[in-house]
Amino acid sequence: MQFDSWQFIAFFILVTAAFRLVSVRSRWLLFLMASYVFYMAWKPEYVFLLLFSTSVDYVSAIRMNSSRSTAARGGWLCFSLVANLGVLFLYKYYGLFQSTWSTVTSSYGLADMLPRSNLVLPVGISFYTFQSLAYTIDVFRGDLPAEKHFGRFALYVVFYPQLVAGPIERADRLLPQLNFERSPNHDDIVVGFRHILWGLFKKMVVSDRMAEAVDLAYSAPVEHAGLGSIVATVFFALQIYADFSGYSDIAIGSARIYGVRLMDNFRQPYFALNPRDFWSRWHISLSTWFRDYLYIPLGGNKGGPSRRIRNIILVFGLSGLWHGAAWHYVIWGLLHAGYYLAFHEGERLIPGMDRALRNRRGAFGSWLATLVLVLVAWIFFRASSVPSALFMIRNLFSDAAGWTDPQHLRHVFWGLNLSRMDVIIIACCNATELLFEWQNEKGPVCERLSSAPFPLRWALYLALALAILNLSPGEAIPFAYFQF
Amino acid sequence: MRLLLFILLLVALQTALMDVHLPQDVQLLNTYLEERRDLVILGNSTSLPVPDDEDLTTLGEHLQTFLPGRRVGELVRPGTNPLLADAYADYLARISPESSGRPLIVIPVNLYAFSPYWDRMPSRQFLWLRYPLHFHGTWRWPFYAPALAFEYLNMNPISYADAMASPVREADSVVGTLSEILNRQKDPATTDPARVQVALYFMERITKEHRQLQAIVSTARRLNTAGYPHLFYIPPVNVDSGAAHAGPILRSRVRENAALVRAELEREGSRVLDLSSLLGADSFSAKVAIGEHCYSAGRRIVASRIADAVEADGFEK
Repeated sequence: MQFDSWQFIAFFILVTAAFRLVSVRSRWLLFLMASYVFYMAWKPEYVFLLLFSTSVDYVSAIRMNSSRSTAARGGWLCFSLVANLGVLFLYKYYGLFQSTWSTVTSSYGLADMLPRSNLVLPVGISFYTFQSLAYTIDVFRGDLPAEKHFGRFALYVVFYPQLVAGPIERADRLLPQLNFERSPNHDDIVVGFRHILWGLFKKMVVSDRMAEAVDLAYSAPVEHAGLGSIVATVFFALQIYADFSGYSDIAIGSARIYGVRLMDNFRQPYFALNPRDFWSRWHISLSTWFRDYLYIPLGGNKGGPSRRIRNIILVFGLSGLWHGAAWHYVIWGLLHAGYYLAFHEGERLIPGMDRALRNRRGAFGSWLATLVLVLVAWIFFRASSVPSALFMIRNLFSDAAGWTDPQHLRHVFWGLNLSRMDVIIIACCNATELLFEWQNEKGPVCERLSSAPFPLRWALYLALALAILNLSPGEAIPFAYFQF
Repeated sequence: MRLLLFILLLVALQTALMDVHLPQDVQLLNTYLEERRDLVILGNSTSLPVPDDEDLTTLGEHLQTFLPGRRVGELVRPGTNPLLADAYADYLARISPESSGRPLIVIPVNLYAFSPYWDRMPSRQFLWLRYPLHFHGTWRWPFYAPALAFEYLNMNPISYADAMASPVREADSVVGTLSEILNRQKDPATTDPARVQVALYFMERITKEHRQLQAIVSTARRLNTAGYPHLFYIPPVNVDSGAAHAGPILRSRVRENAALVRAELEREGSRVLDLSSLLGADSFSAKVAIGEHCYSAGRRIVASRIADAVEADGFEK
């Protein structure tokens, strides 16, 4: 069930109506049932994986809580880690492992002993696994008491607004809200709907409008080598941001309508002035997860430069692998590790770099360089394979001689199936988004809008609603992050 | 109260904006109706010049020269099928100008449109045109854009994979899936590509249950009910070239299929011209696949037959 489908609208209306009707004490049950229905709409049998993760982590946490021995607590944590990551490996990474193993064995002339897997990747598995693991790790550390109410814990794992694509919430923040004792006020409902409207605009208009051009260029890199690849990569950067942050906005808005506040997942990432800044703005719930549950436990910045470098490479490499079971995702992560380390070393070795980057010209140069680096990394992320990404990068300027020729430009856009009107609509929609993002830098627009004059607010709602109804390409394009 | 006002305003603006979703083909049809053209032909690629044509006159233009006293409107697009014709008939029946202003509607019934290669392919469902034709002017029209945006309407009811898995028949026996047949066509060393092409388009035996046949019968019913004079014609098929590759069975298959289409339409009281065997191989272009695309001379002959039928039947001007 996609957020931009009529089925979800009907589901959301029903659940919201029921939420208003049932007693506060029963709300957790309503949401638990609704969340399972939401998940089962995709592939009912995979609900057992969710129940498995939930049960394992519930039991592990209870046992950890009641155990005084560190060894026993560690044992239960290991049980939780092995069970959760085992399922994740089986469904998501076994295929990559098998094909890599097969390549290695065949290069040595050995027989391929591992069977192939035809398992379908469960939607949202990386998200709910990480969310559930965060809970058991917190209980192990003693940062959080184990949740004794199985139903409420199960709801923490499956709460439908953020089940399939995050934000990856922390138990100390989300669990207390799932007793729904705080009923949503007028502001919650209004701000929630603003988030939903804005999220739908980003997904259905901004992102989906560019999806076909990106698909065309990345599925046939030879035909679109050069300017076509550059345009497609810029489009992809805008598309994936609008798609993923649009989903997050709808999730945040839906939850807010029930009085639940989810964390912000994005903070204008393309305004980042350096790679470190980018990662404090992009997919915040995942980057802070890796920071808190992997980077810091590995030693973080402590233990000397070589250890820090190792930790950063490991964290970014795994972050790449988290996104997809393919080597091009790992390279995407490692590229970002390289950017991060290079910036860090630059700051350390070049005196005055920090100050130079703060003045207007320096900040602009730094912003531009960061953007270009991020775009190059996106090529690896979106390409179907590493050779395909390398081909695209090698040929980015292969047709540079024709860039001033209007005929060539027409041919490039025609090849991407973009008419002049399409280009104008895409430019206008992205400009609208940019304006919104720029305003967001000054403070959350969805909250600040309450102080705007009434005609302006309602004209904006009307314009967004009309844009969604009339500018959406009208094809079912799944959210990009559903595949992770 | 504010929310209610907002919804009302949104519906009003959306209704006012909806006609931006009306495809150009429909807008052109509206223009023809407003101009009170005497005859409108719903053409397709077989009405248009072939790549090696010296004369670029379309079927509609030829028809105009044969019917100087009538104003011909030609609505021509690269592909059509009977489902689209049915959608046009539904639209025309709803628009239904006063009887004196109703043009004669001329509709080709191409036999290739019944083949799985045409009938099943997702790109040939023309839903982007069929939906507006069915919905415009009804209570559903203001909801068309929301239904499309939120995927209530499915633009791809047949997936590409499903289309490729469709059986291809020669008469009553299945000779492979669409995917297998297309792959065979790519290997000229073992298979005659032209024979495969002919099998893909014309060798299936059409049955009364075929959805395209039912659609063309529905077209006839709608036009009859709404009082539109109309004429169906089955365009010429390059049977000579096809039979050279597929054997004489092609002639009998085309004849049988055309006879069925004609019988079903005549049962509805519609006039049908069966021109399927009208032209010899030299009338067709060798630059396109063996089928129904003829040179200007061929289109001229077809136009003359249509004109004769129009004049002979005394369709009201």
